[in-house]
Amino acid sequence: MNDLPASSEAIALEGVVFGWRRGHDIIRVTQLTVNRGERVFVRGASGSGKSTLLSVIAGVAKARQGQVRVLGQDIGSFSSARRDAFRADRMGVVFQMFNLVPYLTVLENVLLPLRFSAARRRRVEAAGGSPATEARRLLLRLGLAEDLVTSRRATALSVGQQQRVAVARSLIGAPDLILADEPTSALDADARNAFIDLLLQECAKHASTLLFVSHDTSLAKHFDRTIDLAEINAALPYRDAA
Amino acid sequence: MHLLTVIRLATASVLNRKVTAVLTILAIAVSVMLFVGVERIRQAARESFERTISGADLIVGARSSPVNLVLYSVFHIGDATNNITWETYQDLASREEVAWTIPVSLGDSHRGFRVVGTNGDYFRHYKFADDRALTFAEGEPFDDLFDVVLGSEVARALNYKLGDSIVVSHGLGEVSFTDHKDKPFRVSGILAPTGTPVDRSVHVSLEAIEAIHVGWESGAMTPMARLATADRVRAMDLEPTSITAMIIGLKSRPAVLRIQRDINTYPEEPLLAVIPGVALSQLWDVVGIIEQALAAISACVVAVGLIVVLVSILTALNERRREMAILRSVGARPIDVFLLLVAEAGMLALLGAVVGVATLYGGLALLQGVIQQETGITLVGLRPGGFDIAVVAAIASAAALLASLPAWRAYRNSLADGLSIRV
Repeated sequence: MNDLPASSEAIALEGVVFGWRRGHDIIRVTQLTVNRGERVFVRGASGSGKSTLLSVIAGVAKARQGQVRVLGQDIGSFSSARRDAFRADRMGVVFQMFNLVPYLTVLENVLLPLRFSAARRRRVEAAGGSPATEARRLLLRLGLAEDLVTSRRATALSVGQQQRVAVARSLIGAPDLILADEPTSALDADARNAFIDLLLQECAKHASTLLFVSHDTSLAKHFDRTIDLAEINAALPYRDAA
Repeated sequence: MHLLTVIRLATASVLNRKVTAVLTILAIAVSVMLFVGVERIRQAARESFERTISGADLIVGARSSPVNLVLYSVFHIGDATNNITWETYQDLASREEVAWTIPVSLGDSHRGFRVVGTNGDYFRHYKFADDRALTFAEGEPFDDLFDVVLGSEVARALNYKLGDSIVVSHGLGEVSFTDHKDKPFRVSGILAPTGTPVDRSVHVSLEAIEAIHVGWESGAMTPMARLATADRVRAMDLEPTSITAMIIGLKSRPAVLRIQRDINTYPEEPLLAVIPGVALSQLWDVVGIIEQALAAISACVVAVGLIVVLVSILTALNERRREMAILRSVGARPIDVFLLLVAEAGMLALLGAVVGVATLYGGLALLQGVIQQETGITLVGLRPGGFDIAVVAAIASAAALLASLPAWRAYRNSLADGLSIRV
């Protein structure tokens, strides 16, 4: 991964158009730039295309028009499989809720990205630890009690605990870019602030870029910069649910 | 690397839904058990029939149907409609093309086992399973008028030893009210197991059959019989007047069709000569229809089992959309999502099929004795083999193939959902 062209931009969208269905664009972004190491808050009401924007950046969805550069790579020119591999190697994703695979244990959930990315596994091992030790370390740092880490099922945890496990999973193997999709909407106010602090701390520690999308404006104060999706997305944001 | 991960995930997913998984596996197991069971028992029964008589060129009896003649004379299933006369027997036995003959006289029983009246030629010429001759586990052929040679199963079931004395019953019921008590027999020999109806037969000489029936000519005991004590009978002329059937071996095989025609047009009495293999293939023609029906039914049951697998994957599909999005977010390709579902279905079917086959052979091993006892059919060579491996592989593949329908839907979903989950 070190042979990639150096770029100060983590995300650079130019003239990107995307819609899940033909003739029904959800994303129409002329310009969006996020620098490396930046922690950016993307504000958007529900239905403004937040999740879809993340799908495009993560390379799950392919822009119909325009250029999507992530970590210096034009992922729009990648094959679907290469985009998947790129995501596995370089990105971590945290969802709104129910982030965990229900039939895996907490530990297995955290280790999941390493199963799909040899590069991330190597990074963990290069840092001098076994994947399980690293997962445990992350979980403990995120404030999960030792007995929960070893508990059998991920679904046995509370929502707040599940979100922390999801953060641990997104961080393991130090990916360059963390995408978070309303990860705090299921948490109460106190838990929310603690969660965001933890997330920011961990991103800073791993020097990861963070793109955090939410409709909750009160969270913006935690971040370096706020982007209002309504301003940059010209694709009729409020008409249809995305 | 991806494939290994997918298989690992599929295993965890299947184990997580234990009740569904167990029921699905059970459905497949039962259907496979039925399917393989029908096929294997069919084969084993055929093999059992075909190894019962070997080396015989013709079987001759009173005129009836070829299948019926073979069934009663060799397999001891059903009864003769009529006898053939001793003169006819002697005439046919003395023909120059004939190498050997075995006379067979049926109609009596001993505690549910058939009594076969015959002569020493039986032990010399009767062959089964690829020309194997009868051998004695103990003792020797009958010599005295009231000697008896037991099949191995008879000796085992009734716990008889050499020198024991036994009483023969008139007729064929297990419980008989008309015993030939006045003339008990002594066990002179016990045959080694053959896996054929011989094991379940009680062999006496033709003269002995005559002797126990002196005074019973009407079918029931007459006052005359009381006078015919064992000692007096010994002094009588015991040449048989008729026998039930005869087995013929020829000096040269090619003559068989000519001899058969001669016997079928025998002028003195209506006879039927059949070639055992031909009669058996006629039997299979009849049985084949039933076998095909059974095979069709069991194939349908297998189809139902496969549909159960499909349903178990399909019903979980919607509630698993989020799981698929999570997997996509950590780098799973859409094809991995597809393979995950296919692997789950294949795994369930594979387990079910293996359980089914194992249960079948386990059950057959346990029931083999009972089946032999009740039907006289020895299930020879019933061990899992290539056929079973093929069935297991075919069923696992079929389930995987069927699961590619829901898997395709999941594949499409995961493309359409991206990282947003609309459930």
